[in-house]
Amino acid sequence: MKTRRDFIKISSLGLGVATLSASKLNLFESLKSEEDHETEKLFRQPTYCEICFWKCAGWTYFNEKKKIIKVIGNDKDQHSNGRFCPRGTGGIGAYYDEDRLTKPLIREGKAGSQTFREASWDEAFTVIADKLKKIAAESGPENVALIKHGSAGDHFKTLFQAYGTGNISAPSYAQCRGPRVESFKLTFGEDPGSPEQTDIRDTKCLVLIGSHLGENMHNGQVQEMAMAIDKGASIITVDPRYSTVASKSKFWLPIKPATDMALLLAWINVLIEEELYDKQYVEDNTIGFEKLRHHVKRMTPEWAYGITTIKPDVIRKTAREMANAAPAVIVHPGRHVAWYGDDVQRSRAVGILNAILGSWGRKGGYFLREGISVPKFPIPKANKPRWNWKTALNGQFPLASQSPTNVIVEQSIKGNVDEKYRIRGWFVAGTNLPLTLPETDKFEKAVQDLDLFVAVDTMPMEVTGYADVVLPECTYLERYDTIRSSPHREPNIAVRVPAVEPLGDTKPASWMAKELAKKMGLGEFFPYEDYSEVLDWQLKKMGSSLDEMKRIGVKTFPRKTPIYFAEGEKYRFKTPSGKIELYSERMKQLGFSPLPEYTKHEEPPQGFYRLNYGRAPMHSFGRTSNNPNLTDLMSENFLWVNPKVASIWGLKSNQKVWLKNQDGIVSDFPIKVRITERIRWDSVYMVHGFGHNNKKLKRAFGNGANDSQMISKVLIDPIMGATGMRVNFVTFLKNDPA
Amino acid sequence: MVIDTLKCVGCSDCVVACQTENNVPIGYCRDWVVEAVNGTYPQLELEIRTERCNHCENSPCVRCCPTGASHIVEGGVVLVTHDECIGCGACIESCPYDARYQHPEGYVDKCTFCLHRVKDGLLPACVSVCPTRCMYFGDLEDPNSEVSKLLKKRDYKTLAPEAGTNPHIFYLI
Repeated sequence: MKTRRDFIKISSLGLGVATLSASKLNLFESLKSEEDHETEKLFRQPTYCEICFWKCAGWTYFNEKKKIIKVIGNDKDQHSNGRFCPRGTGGIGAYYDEDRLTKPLIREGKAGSQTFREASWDEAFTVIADKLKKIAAESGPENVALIKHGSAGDHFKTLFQAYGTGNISAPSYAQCRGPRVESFKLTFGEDPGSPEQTDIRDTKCLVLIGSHLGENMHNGQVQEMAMAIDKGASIITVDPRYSTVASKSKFWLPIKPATDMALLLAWINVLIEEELYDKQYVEDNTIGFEKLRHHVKRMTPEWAYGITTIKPDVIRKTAREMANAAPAVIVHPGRHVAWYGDDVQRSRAVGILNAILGSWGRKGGYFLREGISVPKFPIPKANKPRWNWKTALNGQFPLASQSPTNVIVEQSIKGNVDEKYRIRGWFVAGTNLPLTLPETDKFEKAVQDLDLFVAVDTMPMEVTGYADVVLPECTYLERYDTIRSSPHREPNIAVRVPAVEPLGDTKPASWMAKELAKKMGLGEFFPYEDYSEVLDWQLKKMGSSLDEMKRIGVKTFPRKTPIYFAEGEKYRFKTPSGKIELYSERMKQLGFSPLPEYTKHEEPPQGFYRLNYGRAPMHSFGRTSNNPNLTDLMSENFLWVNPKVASIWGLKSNQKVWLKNQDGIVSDFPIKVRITERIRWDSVYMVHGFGHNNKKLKRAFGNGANDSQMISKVLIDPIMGATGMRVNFVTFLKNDPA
Repeated sequence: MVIDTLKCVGCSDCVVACQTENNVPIGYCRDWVVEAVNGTYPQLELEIRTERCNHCENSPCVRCCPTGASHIVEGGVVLVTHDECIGCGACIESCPYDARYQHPEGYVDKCTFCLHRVKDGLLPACVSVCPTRCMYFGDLEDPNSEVSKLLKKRDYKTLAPEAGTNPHIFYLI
């Protein structure tokens, strides 16, 4: 199935070279699809990428000697459209990283000492199973938490549900997307999901609030943004930093940090006052519009100017730009939105803005996602836990639909909760908590109080240094995992099949969960020898098979429902009223403001600068900072400093400085200064995920600084418990404080 | 090759794809990304572009090569025959684009437009992975090719035109 396109005969590009002739070059007549190209010695297996959460489907290519050659995208995949991002392309570095964990490790000596000895899997499992049984007997299985990120978590979730705990948590909720999940559920009755249902490729206007698309390499969205640019869409970027996408925007609004809410409310004001909103859509699909109109009456662009430093005429112009494009307009929900502690409310304002522009369910706005459910492999029903993290919260964070990891940390510290509800053991899979969580002091305190700490990872991360037992996982290129089924424009599934055998003594999480279950007497929950049996059973129920999926990697199913609303359709939203709730009765009942309000946030003290952080396209959190291929592209982070600030402090480019925050915390390592006009004078910026202090990460150790260490203060969102992290201020230390 | 600077986000996927495709040792590269900032906050401009050998029609590297290792092949692609290269480095000095590097094995290396792939009907590795599809590869002599059409329709520039090399990489601006 070679796709033939109109291509080029390359002919004579070099005009000055007399010997050239076009006729010699009839070699290049057809252009094949990359993935159809298997040279005689290369083989391939399907996979989906695990380097970030976007989970792009692709192919792992390897040779006869089972050496992995490259990983590329699958043309049929809606997450990647056949093209991986740099992290996906560099994913082979995760396999080849010579610092990988290869043997189970057991701590020797007391907690906190970083001395481990190698152990057999059997011994490691025995230690874990005995401890888990002991905690279950003394307190209950509920007193153990599973903290997870990524595919490994799926298998351990089955294990810990069988064990009997409901304390299952992922930092991707309260440290990242959580506020957006709850605000969109309040407003539209559903979460925009992952990948988000943003119809960027057909939009006429894309509005980004602090979202740095292109630096956050959310593959499908970055691709669609480029398509939208090609088609002449306008982009409006709100960011105190001149981000990559700001440079591609028709309007860049260099907002004063922490004031986005005022801008959003002023935009709503303009759309209503100038009657630019979608009247029919609002009438057909929303409730609470009059209350909203009244609420934003005084929130004029002039009011917002004093707060945001964005000029009133720019606020009006950009509001009109959105209205002109409507309904093909997207005010992007963002991804990491745990910023200031009022994030659900800010996200609600984003939702409301979309609603009155009529973008939800419309082409170029938010399409309606459709997925396909994967049949559940038959296993016994687990006992319902008697209590979970919610019990001890006593009604705090009422809209937390998932467990905030910061709550699990709090509930693990002695004295914070009734001992009956204290978490005594952590099983951490695929998340490097010391770099992921703010408030490192609380993490360290909790760790001291734990009776068991198990860490599963492919790399010796900081988190593995704290664990009692370390279990070495093989990389995604060496294992089967659960079927990827993410709702999208078309329902689809993708599989992950190992290309090569696991390196050293590493194992897939599916095997670890099964073997540990056997040790704990829970073997009946894992009725298979190899996880491929589960996949084949599920796939056959779906009208496919593992054999078929090995050939195609991705399978797409026809939609059963329309992707957009029909003209004038009155859609039934999954909210209590069945409409988009501009005004939220639910919030009112819970004692929160039913319409978003602007709250003034603390400003940096003299000599301090707000610490903003973000992503680089070639790294995923801190998990890629030792990857040989990706480290070669970027080996450390830099501190972005405005030239005016640099001149006050006498800073030079590439000079190393240590950071000190408002609580007197000093960074473990120095960071090089990047003097750039691209940042405001009231804030500094750094890419997250560097400044590793685990010496076993030979390439990453001590490279750059760790922003999480500087985030010793958080503002917790009272609605669902997210940790607002952009509330820390730092200053520079030019000399080594040690 | 035509590269749209309005779409490039500087992700460097082209760099890592080239390294894997062409066994470029870690620490070296045949292509790279440049970011050029102009102005003062908040009146700013930023151009991001991926750079590599420009496969110049008038190539100083070929002219100064004492052994003939650097040469131009069919299609106008500038190549280095590794066996004939003595690693003198004259070409590295002569290139206004800094496109060449000394391979640890002694010879000089650089972008080949992935001629081995192109001969098989594939795009160069960098073009084939680019998430923003900001790179176009094709026949500049064919007025109906995508690259020719883009150059007709859009404003473009070449790098270091003053060097008189007649480069074959065009940047849409």
